[in-house]
Amino acid sequence: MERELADNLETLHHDAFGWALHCCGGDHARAEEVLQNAYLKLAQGRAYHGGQSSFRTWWFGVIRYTAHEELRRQRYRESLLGKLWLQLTGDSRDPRPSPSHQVELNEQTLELRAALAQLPARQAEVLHLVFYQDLSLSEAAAVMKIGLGSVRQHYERGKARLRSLLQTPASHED
Amino acid sequence: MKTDPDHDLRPFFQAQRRADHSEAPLWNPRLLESAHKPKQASWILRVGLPATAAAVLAVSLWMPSTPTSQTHLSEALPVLLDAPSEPLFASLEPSAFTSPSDFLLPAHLSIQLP
Repeated sequence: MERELADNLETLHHDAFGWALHCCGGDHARAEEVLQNAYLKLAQGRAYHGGQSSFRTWWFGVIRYTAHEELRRQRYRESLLGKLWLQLTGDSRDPRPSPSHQVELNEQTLELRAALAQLPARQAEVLHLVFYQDLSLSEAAAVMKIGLGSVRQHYERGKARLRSLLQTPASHED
Repeated sequence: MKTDPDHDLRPFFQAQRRADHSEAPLWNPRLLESAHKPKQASWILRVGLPATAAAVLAVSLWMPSTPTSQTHLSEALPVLLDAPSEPLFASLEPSAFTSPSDFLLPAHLSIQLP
């Protein structure tokens, strides 16, 4: 059982990191932390796959939830009290990717990241899950824990908005 | 023949996917193994601690029932009430003391010591 779990996790590791990275707004350090915390939850039995959905959608849901927890912590750190604490402890971290990493990313990737950042969070999430992770709309709905109708709406609106931001011609060819 | 209606968007995501995969941290199965260790420790705490407490309680309950050197203890203690028994208030003389305000008391409340 544990062997099977480890094999599943290994297969999904890279895509899971990509999803964590999306959930963390492109912050590599935070994405790594989120993924590690998600693994820890799984190993300690704090997250358990009941079998209601596929392992992939369940695991992506765990990562998404863990990223939201991390975001709440981040918001606390950015609050007035948190800033005061950082000043006292002198502990600060720049969430932006390093300049060397920025150079490594090609223009297309940076353009997409900038465009997704301008979309509402749910539209960006569903587009990532469908185009990047190759999930179906119903699988995306399971990850995002919303209805299929809502996901479809976010998907259509998101695509239209993304096209206008990326300035790509809408395709209607059949 | 049907073409992909989203062919204009896919290359952007595929490029991002490739870039992210090259940046992803290496898979380390020991992440899962090391996470099991605290669980083992907590199992020891959950079972070992109550077992130790129960053993200590059992020993403490068993200890008084064992024959001890009680005779030696009674010999070591000082002897109490070794004087011969006497009547209570024997040292007090009957109605040896009268207070000046005794006349204020009602007659039936006056107490006579034996």
